Amino acid sequence: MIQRCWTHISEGSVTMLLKVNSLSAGYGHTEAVKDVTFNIDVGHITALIGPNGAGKSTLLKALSGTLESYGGTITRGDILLDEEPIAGLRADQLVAKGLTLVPDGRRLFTHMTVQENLEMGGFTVRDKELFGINFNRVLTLFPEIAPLRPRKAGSLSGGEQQMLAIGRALMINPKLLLIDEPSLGLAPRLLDNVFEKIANLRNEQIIGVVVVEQNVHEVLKIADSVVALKLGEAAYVGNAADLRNDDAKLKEVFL
Amino acid sequence: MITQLTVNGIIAGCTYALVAMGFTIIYGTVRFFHFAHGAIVAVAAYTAWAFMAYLGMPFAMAAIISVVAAGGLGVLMDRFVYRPLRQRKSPSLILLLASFGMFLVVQNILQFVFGSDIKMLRGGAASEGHRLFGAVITSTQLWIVASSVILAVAALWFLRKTGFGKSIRAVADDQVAASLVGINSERTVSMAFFLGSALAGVAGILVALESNVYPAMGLNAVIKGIIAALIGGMGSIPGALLGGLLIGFAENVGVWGISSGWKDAISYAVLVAFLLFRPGGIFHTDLELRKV
Repeated sequence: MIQRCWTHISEGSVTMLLKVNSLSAGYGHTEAVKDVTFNIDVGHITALIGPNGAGKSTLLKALSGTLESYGGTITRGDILLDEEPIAGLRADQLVAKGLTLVPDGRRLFTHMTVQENLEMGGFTVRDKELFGINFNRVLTLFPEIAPLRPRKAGSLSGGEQQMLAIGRALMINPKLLLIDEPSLGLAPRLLDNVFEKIANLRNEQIIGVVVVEQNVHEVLKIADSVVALKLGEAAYVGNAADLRNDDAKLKEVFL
Repeated sequence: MITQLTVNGIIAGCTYALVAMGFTIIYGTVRFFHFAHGAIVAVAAYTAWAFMAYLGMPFAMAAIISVVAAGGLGVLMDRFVYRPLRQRKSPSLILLLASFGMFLVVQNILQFVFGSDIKMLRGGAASEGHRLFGAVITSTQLWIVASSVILAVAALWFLRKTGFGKSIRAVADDQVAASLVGINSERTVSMAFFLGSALAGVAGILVALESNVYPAMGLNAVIKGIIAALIGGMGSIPGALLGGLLIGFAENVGVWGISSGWKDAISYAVLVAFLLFRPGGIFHTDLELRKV
């Protein structure tokens, strides 16, 4: 049912989607991410966790090509998407390669309608048929959005906006989706709902997802792997299950 | 008398509206006062004049070339002055100062090359005016009104319906979000400069047809254009059109019985009244190109 134009993996095998190699990035003379190395596999949800100021958002901005817009730069290291170097490319160039970000604060086109936001999401999808497939898939995943389509995006509730932001990003049918703090400003009940959607996304599509999240216990419920940052450095890179069941280790990583 | 003043007001208002539309499109995408927009008005008028006077080109062809040249000049200003400043994260005050500087440089180049004497640009043989409710309106003036309204509708259609137009609106709304859906924001900004500057170019030719061509002609055009854009609601195309017409009407009808030297004072008074009592303008925008 799900059509993908770049599926190249065989059933059962785990393929590396993104490789981050000794990456350092920051703003001016401040290095917010220091020498971080990790991999992201196809079909995995990776939780990027760590205390405030650990460099999570900076790392996500570096991966998505938006760091420059915030006045930052990648200082060292490489990022490989499907073995192709992508460090330093602009966000719009990365979108063409199947990577996009759901930014913190969601950054919807607030004065456009929900429908227009989804259409803008598929701005680069020139093939009408593919556009329709992506559009229907987003509405299948987020049926709550469908009746809201004529409304201005700025008038939606926080939970609805978060779903629309993820839906807009899915309009390019990404192979790697980065999500920055989906829980920000959400009621706990809605948070469960959003996380459930992210898990569904991984189950239904062969997609890599990286979620930056403060709410560690919630994100560990759906994550397959974890990258924990501490003062800009990688404090833990590995399996989510190991952290989920080991509170002592989680504390050690986190504090 | 009052009808004649109204007609004059509408004619002037149309040219202000064209300048304002271009200004508002550019402001919406880059968020600073592109004052050199006025220089583009003058350059277009001189380009059309030069092609006709030196090369004997027919008016229509000279007009088309100078509108394209105006658009191109706007793109070059952005590419070689504003973009490097943007990349250095310069505050919008610096961009405004750079824009002032460019305005003066271009105006002085025009004066140096063409002299400071007044030139005449005429589109065709002077024709008898038409009578309209007791007022006289020339064919040229009818053209000015028609082309302004057509261009306003065309600009609105372009921004609402075409892919490029949608990308301009998206960049205006949120540049980072636009890049995350795959829009190249620098290319989009160039497009906005071309479109906005071409509209200024049309205004320059229409002003030249209606009055004269002289190096400082851009100053009045850009100031009235900015006032029109502000009172219409910054970022709104229909607002720019209405704002231009309102200013043109107010300053022409307002001088009824007093000296026409008060025109500028009336425009500023209208602006101050709007800033005090309805700062968002007629269409009540929040200084952003969203409600186009």
